[in-house]
Amino acid sequence: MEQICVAAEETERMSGTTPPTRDDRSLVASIAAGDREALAELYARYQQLLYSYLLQLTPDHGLAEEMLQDTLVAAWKSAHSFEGRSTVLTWLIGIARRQAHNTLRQRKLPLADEAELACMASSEPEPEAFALNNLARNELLAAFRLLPALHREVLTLALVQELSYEEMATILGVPTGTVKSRLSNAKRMVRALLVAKEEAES
Amino acid sequence: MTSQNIQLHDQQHIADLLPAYVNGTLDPVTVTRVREHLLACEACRGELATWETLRDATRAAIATAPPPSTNVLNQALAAIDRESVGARACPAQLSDVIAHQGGASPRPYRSAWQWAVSYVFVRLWLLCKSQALIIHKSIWIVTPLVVMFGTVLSLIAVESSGAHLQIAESILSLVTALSSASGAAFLFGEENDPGLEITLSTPTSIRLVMLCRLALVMGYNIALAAIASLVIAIVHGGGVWEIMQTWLGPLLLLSSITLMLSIVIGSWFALLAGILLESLRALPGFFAQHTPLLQIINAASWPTSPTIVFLAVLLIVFAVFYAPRQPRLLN
Repeated sequence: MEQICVAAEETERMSGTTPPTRDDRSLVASIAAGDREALAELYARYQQLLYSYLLQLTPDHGLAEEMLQDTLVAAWKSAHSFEGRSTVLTWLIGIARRQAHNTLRQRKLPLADEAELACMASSEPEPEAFALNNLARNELLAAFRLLPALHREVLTLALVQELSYEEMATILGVPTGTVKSRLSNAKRMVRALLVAKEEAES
Repeated sequence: MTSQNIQLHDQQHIADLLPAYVNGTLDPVTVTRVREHLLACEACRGELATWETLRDATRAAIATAPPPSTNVLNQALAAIDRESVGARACPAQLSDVIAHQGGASPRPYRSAWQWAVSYVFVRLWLLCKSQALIIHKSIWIVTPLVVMFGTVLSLIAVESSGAHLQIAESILSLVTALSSASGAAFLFGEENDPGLEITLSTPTSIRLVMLCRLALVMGYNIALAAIASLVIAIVHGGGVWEIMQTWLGPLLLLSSITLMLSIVIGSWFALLAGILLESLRALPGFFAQHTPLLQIINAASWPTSPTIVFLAVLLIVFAVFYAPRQPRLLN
């Protein structure tokens, strides 16, 4: 049995010397085969994206790290069932979201998808658009941080992770129409926050 | 009405497509459509500017997120180790992985391996202990009563019919096989197992759980029947092993048949089939001689033979491998 262990160690060492240009999918395939270094590499690639996403679901850094850890363990366990129909990032975010929701539910903390505004996305531009573009950056940042988790989440997925409507719909478990309306609501919410601040100051 | 306004009304606005336009996930045809519309429509250009600002703001807000602490990966690997050790042939300790990553020579695996073996035994023991609590309580009470009844019946039969050990053996064989088979028929399924949902949600494989329960119930029956055999051997005389051989084969085969049927079809069906098979086995010899089918079923009342044991093992293996795909267990 020791010999088998040594053999496994050898292959691990050999796979470690391959060039670092392995694509995401082959990394997931290696993870499915039990390669810990592949998991470490995938984590190195996406830790920041996943962590910043999780921080949109909870303000608690310790909790977000716990969720990130759960995400890694879940990815390790389910790597064999990754079929490559989505990108690896979408797959990982989907796992992260599930882990986050499990943790939040266990601790009886509010979930992101409660109380959605019943407002449809429209192809019409909004009248009297409050010009966001002329605002100071830190005012926008402050408004973003004040958004409900639901809206911060969808903005992060669309504008930082750059996912398509279909990918977001898969991750969030809603129709693409809801993704569109959620995005438009998020934008409207930012605008409303800034207008409220403007009025409060004047 | 200017020409621009007419053009604007001709075309549908594209405000709902702008987030996807900004993040570059639109298909080329739609991108062209959006660009054409943007050239003509000032309101949508304003929306586009809003989305671009929002993108920059969101990215800036995300960029201020601190990196996760460095021990997240190590803790995740440790959690993976805790869960997989024992299940894998070659459990690498976390310290080995870290040592290996650091370029240091890996520690010898002997201690980790020995630890894994003892872990497997502890795990099986805990699993059996927990499953013993889940299995229906009546099995633990009814089985000894049934076996005791069979023993008394065989002793009385022997006394009254005048020293025919064979009759005692066949009565004991019938009773113990039926007892174990009805136990096996009610091991699985939602209606028998209040904890099934929890069992299925744990990382422990349902196959292992099945084997563990089967081993518990069959082992219990075999132990009780062995005690009964000893009692008969002492009271009446005769070899314990010879008596045991008359019931061990039927018990194994009938239990595996009912287990398989209970998983594939249902517990009550399995019990009925078991009773039917047993009563055919108990039918008087003359009846069997006239019906070829019954002769097969009744073939020498299934004495313990390698074929019988092999057949029983085959059925159990089938049941264990089929179980996780069984909708009755999964839904």
